[in-house]
Amino acid sequence: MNRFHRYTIFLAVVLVVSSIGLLVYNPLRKKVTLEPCISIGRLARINPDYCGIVCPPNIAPLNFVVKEEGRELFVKIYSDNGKPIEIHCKKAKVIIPPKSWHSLLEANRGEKLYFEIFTRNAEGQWNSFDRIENEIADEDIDNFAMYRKMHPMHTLYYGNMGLYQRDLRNYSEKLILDRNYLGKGGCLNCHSFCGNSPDNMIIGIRSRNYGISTLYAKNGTARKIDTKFGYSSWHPSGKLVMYSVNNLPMFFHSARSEVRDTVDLDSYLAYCIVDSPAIKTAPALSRKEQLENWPVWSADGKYLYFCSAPMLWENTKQIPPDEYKDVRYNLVRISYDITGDEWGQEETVISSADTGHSVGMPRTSPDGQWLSLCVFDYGFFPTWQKNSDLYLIDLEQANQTGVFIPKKLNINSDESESWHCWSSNSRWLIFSSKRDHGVFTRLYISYIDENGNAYKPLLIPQKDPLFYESCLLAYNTPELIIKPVSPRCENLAKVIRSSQKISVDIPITMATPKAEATSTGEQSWQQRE
Amino acid sequence: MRLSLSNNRGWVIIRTVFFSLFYLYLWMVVKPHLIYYGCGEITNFPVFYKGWAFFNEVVPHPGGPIKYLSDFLSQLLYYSWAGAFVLTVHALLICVFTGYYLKKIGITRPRIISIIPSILLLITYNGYTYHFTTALALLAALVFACIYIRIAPKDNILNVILFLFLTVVLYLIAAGAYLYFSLLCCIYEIFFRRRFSVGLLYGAIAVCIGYIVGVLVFKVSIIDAYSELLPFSWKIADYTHPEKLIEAVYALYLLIPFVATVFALWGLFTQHRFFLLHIKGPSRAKSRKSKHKRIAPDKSTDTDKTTASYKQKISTCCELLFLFAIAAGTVIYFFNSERKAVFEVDYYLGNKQWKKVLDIGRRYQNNDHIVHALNRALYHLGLLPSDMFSYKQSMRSFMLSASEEGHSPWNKIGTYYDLGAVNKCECVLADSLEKYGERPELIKKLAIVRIAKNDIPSARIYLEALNKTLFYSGWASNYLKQLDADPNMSGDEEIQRLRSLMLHEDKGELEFLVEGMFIDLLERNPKNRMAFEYLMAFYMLMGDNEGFIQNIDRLDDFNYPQIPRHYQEAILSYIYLTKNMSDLQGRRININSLNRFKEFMRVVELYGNNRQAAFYELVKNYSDTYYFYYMYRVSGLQNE
Repeated sequence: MNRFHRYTIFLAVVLVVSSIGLLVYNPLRKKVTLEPCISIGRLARINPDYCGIVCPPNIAPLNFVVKEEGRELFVKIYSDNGKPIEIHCKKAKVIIPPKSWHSLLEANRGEKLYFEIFTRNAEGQWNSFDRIENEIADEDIDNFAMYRKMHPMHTLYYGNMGLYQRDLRNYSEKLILDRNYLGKGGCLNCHSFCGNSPDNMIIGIRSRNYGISTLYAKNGTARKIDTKFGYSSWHPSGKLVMYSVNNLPMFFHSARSEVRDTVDLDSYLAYCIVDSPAIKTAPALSRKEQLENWPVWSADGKYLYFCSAPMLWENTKQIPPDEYKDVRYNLVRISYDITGDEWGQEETVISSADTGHSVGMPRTSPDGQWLSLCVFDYGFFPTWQKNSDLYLIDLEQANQTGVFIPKKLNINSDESESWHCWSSNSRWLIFSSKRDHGVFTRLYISYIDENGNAYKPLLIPQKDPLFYESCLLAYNTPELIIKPVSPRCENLAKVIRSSQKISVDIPITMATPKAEATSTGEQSWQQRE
Repeated sequence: MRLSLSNNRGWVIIRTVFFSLFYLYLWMVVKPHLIYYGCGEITNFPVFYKGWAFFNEVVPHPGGPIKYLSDFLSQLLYYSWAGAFVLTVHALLICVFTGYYLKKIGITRPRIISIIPSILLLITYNGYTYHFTTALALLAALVFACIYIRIAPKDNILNVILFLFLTVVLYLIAAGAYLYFSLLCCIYEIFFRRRFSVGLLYGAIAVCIGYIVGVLVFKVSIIDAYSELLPFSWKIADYTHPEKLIEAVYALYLLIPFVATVFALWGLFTQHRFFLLHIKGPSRAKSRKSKHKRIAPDKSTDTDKTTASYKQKISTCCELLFLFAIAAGTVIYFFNSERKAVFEVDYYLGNKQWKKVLDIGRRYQNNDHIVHALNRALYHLGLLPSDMFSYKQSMRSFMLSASEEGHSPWNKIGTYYDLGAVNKCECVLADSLEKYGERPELIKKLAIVRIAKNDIPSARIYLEALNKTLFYSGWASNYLKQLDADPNMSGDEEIQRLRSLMLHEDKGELEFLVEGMFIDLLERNPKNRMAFEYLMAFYMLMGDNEGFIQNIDRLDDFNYPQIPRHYQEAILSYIYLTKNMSDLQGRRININSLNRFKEFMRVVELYGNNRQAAFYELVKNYSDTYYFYYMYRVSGLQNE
């Protein structure tokens, strides 16, 4: 055995012994004595703010950073049942072991979840903060969320933009499709699912290389429809998709904090019967003097809710029209019988004349009880309006009384709240908000109880609790889904690149010809976030 | 022995001299920091963030380690001396390993083949393009090929195992570049070890590895599985740009396989001695034998030795001269001084070195970006109202109109920023972030803009991101501390300057209409000198004397010692054309300006209506005046 081999063996032995030693005797793992301990008399400041929240029992560990001075940190996470989680560390980041976390939450559905935080100062004195009380909901949130990530505020279609699928039970994030697959320049638009299931899915595509189209995936097989669906909603039967056709140019504000804005110059609603496929509309959905937008089906598929406003301009070439700030949308609904493909009479649900505000992005809960929506100053697009807030309407009550009462949720902030979606069990609402990070929208989830009360939302957790503090991407268009999207990224990209597509005819009797004309060609791109 | 040593020494000298000059040329002439700044021309320069988050994002993918290393090393281009060092060492390593590979397959002459890759790399740097990542992947493949050749056992099975191991490891490190390694191994096995079946087997293994590891294990697309980090990747090929010089990188990749194949085929047909030597088996025993042979007592006479040594020196000199001729020829042929000027001007603008902008810019006045930059430098030097027509002005270059496809948003950032047009600045910054990636310079400006707009939460995100970069973290942490101490940033002059200029009255608009913007800015703050001078410049460039005269009263808001020269010229033109005396409110037209204008008009009248004929007489003395521009819509021709 030469010298080299001897050294190698020696080093290996030292390495193994020291590793075992560290495992057996970790100075930070030894029992921490917290006494004597001084009570600070307030809650510890933690980031993200996981104080007083209701969390789903299947959520990934809510790692956080303690923003208090101290050389050491001791955190105890516990509930009524199960083994408490104790974390002793020298850094401010509290990284919760996933296995213990999930066991704790599973054993305590519907119970309280406590965070006790202690910090040790330079003199060796332990300080204790008031106990943080959270709640563990009884009901799971859907396991996956699909959303779009992009840089905020841009007007070009070059950089990072992708649809991602996040497993909410852990931190894994999977790319579904990104702009790289669209060739040189392009945009991925709204995606929608039928009943929180990715078995029926559509994604709007705009690509300079491959044109404007809609990806339609059914049971894992993707195809391309030769027209682009705007804001869309699946009929609960899965047989048709209602969508908006819009002319939405982007324009800019010279002094407002949110630079970009958009206006719905001309629009109508159409629906695609996916198996044929055929595209249809109805007179009430495509009136020339009205702007129709944001369609959404009731849970039973008997009503279509959408936003509607009178078109205040004749000239659609002036961008923005002088009256753009005067447009306020009503929420209306129209009955529909799918068996006979028959439309009923339109009725106003919320009148902007009564509220003085505009409404947008209505979403119905799968149990049929609730309709959530955004209320804001003007126009149709709440994300770029600082005062956009989430409201809730009790549809069951309204059906009994005939009165629709929008109730402002107590989870709103001073910043814009928008892009919301219900979980399949109607107990969770995911939404985007600018409350914490300015122009960077982040995703929050809030528990909604059976009485329509919303509870303090929690920021979707990341493994690194400081992740969002330097993340230059905005999150939007979240959709909760019960299982992962099955077509792989490359398969979807292949379909986009393929020349094979399902051709559809736009009805020539369309009442809003300008909008119809813009449904093909580059000019019709919906130029918004 | 002496001959051999002398031979090697000569080669060492050649390489030392070449790479020393290579380094000096990069450092002093190319200036890699210009590539780092990118100037709105380089769209693929990478970002690098400190910390595990970025490491975990980049590294655990095929090609991740090379990408991470490349991202890190590329940041060193921030300092020209360090960047030049990185690029030189990289080129030197490619040279060394190319030489080693070629030597092992029997190609020892001409030795300068191994230096050709460095010249090809020089072409890309010389053209201000960025292909470092793919070139680093090539180096990794080359190193692995040399390792394979160095330790390849005789036994076929062990050979295949070794190849398999190296291929998988290289795939993880350098993604698609493993194909290049496989190709080099195939060439080596087929042509030089005459093991056709092994070579073909390697080809098959290479195809399978990409699919198994890339597609099945890492779930990357089949295209990316085989092309990631290669110059043939769609990620590079898709972004067509005439200046990107991707052909040089193709040549870099194809050089060794091409040379090896040509030599092998040449050997087959001509029984070339180097080839013969190897087809009998380049075993180590043989090479040791030949080594012994060389060490054996030298029985040649002194005269022979002297002659041989002399020949060797001549040969070295010839090689050196030939090499430098090629290198110099290449550098001169591919050197694009205008492109370099665009990069330099952008860099000096960013560093507020206005005089340098003028020095460099005045030589390239046909370039819109440069003239745009010149105007900004002129403004900062207080010369815009008096000297702008000494340069070739046009509306195209004035504000790089948003509707012009060819103008990158990057070049407009500084102008909007200086004007205090904060929202417009933010728009072009956001567009640039999309187009050029998360470049620190962009993030820095976005942070400032957001602080100026009192959106501290957004500003903090930008600052925290900047805090993770290598060279801007100090600036960012300083700003974060300032924000903690005073969220209003009342002590920060730059923020206060922006706040004093930025618009308060909001309006929605589709495009950036420059005239309206200047007027809005002046209404917001009548002391916004840049907005005023740009507004007047706009009217002059448009030949809009009415607009100009309507705003002449704004001169009272500024302390010009006298009416600036071009303004005097515009006033004289207005008076001459309309016969209306402008109300100068006590301000006087300089007598020299008046006389010059009279002389100009005398020449014009001399030629009557034949303006074209008058042009040649006027151009020498008057092409730096507004009235010459007004008449001919060109300016700054006095030096041509």
